[in-house]
Amino acid sequence: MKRWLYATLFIFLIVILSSCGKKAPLEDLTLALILGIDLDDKNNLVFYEINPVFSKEAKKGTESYEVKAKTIRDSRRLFDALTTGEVTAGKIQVLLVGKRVLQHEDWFPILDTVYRNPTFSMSTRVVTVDGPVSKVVVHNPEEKPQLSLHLKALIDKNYDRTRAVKGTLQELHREIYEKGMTPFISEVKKEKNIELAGISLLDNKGKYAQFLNVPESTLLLMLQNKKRHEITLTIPVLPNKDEKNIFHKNVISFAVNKVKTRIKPGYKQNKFQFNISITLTINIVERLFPEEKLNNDQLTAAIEKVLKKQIEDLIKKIQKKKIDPIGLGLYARAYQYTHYKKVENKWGEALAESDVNVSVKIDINSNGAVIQK
Amino acid sequence: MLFFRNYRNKQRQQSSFKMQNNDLTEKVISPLLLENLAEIQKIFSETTDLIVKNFVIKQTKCPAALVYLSGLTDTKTVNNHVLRPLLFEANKEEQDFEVQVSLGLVKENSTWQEIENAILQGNSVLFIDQRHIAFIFDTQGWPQRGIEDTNIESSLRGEHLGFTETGSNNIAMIRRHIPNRELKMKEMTVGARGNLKLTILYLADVANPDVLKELVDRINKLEVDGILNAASLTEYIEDNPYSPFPQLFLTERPDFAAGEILQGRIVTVVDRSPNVLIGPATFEIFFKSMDDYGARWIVASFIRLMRYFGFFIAIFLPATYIAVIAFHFEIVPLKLLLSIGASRERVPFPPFIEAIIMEITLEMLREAGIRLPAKIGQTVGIVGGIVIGQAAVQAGIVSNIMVIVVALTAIASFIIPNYDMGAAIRLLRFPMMIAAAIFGFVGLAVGLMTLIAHVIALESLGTPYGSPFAPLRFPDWKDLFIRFPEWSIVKRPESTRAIQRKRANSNRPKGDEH
Repeated sequence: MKRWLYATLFIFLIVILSSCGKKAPLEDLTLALILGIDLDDKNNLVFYEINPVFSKEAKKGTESYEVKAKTIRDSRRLFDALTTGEVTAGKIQVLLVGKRVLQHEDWFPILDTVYRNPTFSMSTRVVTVDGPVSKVVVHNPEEKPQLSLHLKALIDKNYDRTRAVKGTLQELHREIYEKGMTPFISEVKKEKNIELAGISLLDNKGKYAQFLNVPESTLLLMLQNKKRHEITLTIPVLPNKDEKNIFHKNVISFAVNKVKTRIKPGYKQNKFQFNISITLTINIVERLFPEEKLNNDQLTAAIEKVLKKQIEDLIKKIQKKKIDPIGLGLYARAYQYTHYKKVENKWGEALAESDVNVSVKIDINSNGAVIQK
Repeated sequence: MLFFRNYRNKQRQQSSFKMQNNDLTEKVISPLLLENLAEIQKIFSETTDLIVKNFVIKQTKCPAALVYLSGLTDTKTVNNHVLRPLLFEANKEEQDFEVQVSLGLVKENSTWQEIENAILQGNSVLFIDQRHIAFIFDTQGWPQRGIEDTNIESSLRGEHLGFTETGSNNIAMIRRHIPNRELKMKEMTVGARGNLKLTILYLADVANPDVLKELVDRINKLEVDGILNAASLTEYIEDNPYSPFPQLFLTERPDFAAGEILQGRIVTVVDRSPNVLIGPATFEIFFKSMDDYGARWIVASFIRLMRYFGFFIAIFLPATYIAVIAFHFEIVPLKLLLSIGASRERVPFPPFIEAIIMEITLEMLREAGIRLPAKIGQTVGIVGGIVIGQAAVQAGIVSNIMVIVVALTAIASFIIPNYDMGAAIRLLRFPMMIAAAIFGFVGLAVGLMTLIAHVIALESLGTPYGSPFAPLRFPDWKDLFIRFPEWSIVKRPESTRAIQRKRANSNRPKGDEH
C-alpha cells in the first residue's frame, strides 16, 4: 500500500506544482522588439511598437504599429487588436522615448508597468529620440538589418567604444532613485539615417536637462571611469594659423590605453570642493603637423592643456544645469557625509556652487610605427 | 502489486516447483547392463539423437555399452579415444585396469541423476556389465563458432577477441589476462530445464566476500526453467528491476572483464551467452571504454568529458527545446530567436508534438537498422536521411531547428560506449520532454532532481551505484571525468569495496636517470 500512497502523493504534488502559467509557442506570439513612447502635438501619449513577421508570405520582415493609449499596459490592448499573435514584452530591445516626453518633469511613472511586470526585460536599452519617434519607427531601409537589431547594435557598439551608454531600464531606475547622481541615456536622431547623437542628461526627476555631443560624451564617461575597449580622441593642439586649413593640419589623434580618474572631495568655506585628476596613457595614432613643431614634452603639455579645457567646459555645462551625471555626489556622500546629508535633497544646487579643479596628466606611450627624429 | 504477490504465493502452495516427471535423485544404477540400458531407454524415450553402442571390451571381454547424444559430442574423440582403445587394444601386463581410454577427464558415478545430466551436457557414458559405477567421458563437442572480433563494443587499441557462446573458452580468455592462483571460480547451475552453467570469477584476496555472498545467494534463490542469456539473468538478480538504468555491466570484451576483476569486481561467466556479467557496477563504469586505456590520458580524458556532456545533451536537449519554445523564449538571444521563429512559422504542431514525431521517427529508424541485413540497412539510412533531413522540413511538418536538435540528441546518445546505458538514456528523454511540455523549466528541474535522487538511491549488489559522485569519494575521481595517467592511479576504487585497496606503487617515470 505504501507504494500506492507514494505514487498518489507524487502525482498530487506534480499537479499542484506551480509552473509557468501560460503556454504559447513562439510562433503564436508577436514579439515586440521596439517600444516607443511619444507625445503628439496635442500632448496625447502615443505608443509605437515594432515586431518581426515570421511568415514567408510577408514581404517585409517587420511591421510597426502606432496607437494612442493612456498607459503602456493599456496600449497592449490596442496592439492586440492589430497584430496576429499575442503581443509580448519579453524581448523588447530598445525603448524609444521622445524628447517631448522627457521635457515633462513627471514622465517617469509611466514606466511603472515595465518594472512591476516581470515579463519585461531589464536589459532593454532606453534611448532618447531627438524629434518625433514616429520618424524613427517607420524608417526601414533595405540595406540595413531590421531596426531593432540595428539600433541595439548601434548603441552597444558605441558603448564599447566609450561614446554612448547602454542605459538599460535597470540602470535608469537606479540613477533616478540615487540621490548622489542624475540619470543619463543615449540619444539618437533621424536625419537621413538614424544616427547616434550623443547623451541626454536628465535631472534628478528624469526631466531632460542637457544634451552632450559624442566627444563630450566620451569625456563624461572617462570622468566616470567607464572606459570600455577603446577611446579615440581627436583634438587640435596648435593654433589655427592657416586661414583655410582645409586639411586640419593642427589636430592630433590618439588612442587612450589607460585612463584613471581620481576624485577627491573636500569641504571648505561652506561649499564642496572636488579635485579631479585624470591620468591617461596614450598612443598617438595620427598627427597631421610635422614633428619639428612640437617636441614630445611640448606635445604632452599641449594635449594636457586642451583636454583640461574641454573637461572644465563640460563640468561647467553640468553645473549650470544643476545636475550630476558624473556621480560626484556619491563621492561626497562617501567622504563628507555630514555635509552631504544636509544638502542631499538639493544636491544639484550644491554641486553647482562647489569648486571643481581638474588636472590632466598625459603619458605618451608610443608615437606609432614611424621613426621619431 | 501486493495483490499479485499474494496470488503468486497461493500458486506456489498449490504446486511445488518441479519440472521432472520421475524423481531420479536417489536412484542408483544396477550392476546388470541390460537393466541399465532399459532405464536409459525409459529416461530418454522418444530421443532420436541418443546413441547406444553395445560392444565387448577387448581387454576384459566384458559386455559394455557407450551412451551419448549425437551432435553434442565430438564424434572424432568418441571414435578415436574411447571406442578404438576399448574395442581393439589389449594390454596384457595390466589385467586389472579395464577401462583404457586416452582422455584427460574421466569421472565415475553411480547416480542416475548425474548420469542423465552428463549425457545431456554432451558427455558419453560407459556402462559395463557387473559394475556398480558408470564412467563419464568428457567428449563434449557441440556446434560453435570461432572467436571473432567484438561486435557491439569494438575498440581501436583493445584486444580483438570477443567472448563466444562457450563458457569454458570465455573463462580461458579471462584467465589469459590474469594467470594468478588467486583467481578463483565458483560454479553454479541455474534453471531446472536449462541447466545453465554459471562460473563466478573473482580474485580471492581482493574481491569483497560480502558482495560475493550476495551474488551467490541471489543466484541460488532462482527457480526458473531456463535462462537463455546473460541479459535475462541480470533481470533476475539486479537490485532494482524498475530502474531504467542497468545495474550490472554486460560486456563481450575479455580485456574489460579482466580489468574489472583486477579492480576487485566479480565476473559471472554465463555459459551459452557471448556476454559476461560484471558486478557490482557503478554509474560511471558505463561511461568507460577499453579505448580510454589505449589512448593517451589527455585524449582519453577529453573523450570521457564528451561522453558525460553527451549524457546530458541526450536527456535534456529536446526537453529544453520544448521548454524554451513553449515557455521561456526570453532566454534565447534575439538573432537565434528570429531564425527559430522563421523556421517554426510553417509548422502546424505545438513543439511537443513536433519533437515527439521526430524522436519517434529517429528511434524507429535506429531499431529498423539494427536487425536488417547490412545490404538493406543502407537503404534505411538513405530513407531516414531524406525523410528526417529534408522532406519533413520542406513539407512544413517540422522545423529546421528541430532536425538539428534531433540529430544532436542522436549523436549524443550514441557516444555512450555501453549499449544498455545508451538505451536507458534514449528512453529517459521522453519523460523529460513530457515534463518540459507541461511545466517548462520547472518540470525539467523536477525531472533532473528525480533522476539524481534515483541514481543516488540505486544499489548494485548492495554497493552504492552513484559512487564516486554520491557517496562522494574524491580519491576515485582519478578515473572519472579526467583519466589520470595510469601510473598515478595506485588504489582500487572504493566503489568495488575491494578488501585490498592498493593495486600499485607509484610508478612515476623519472625520465633518463643516467
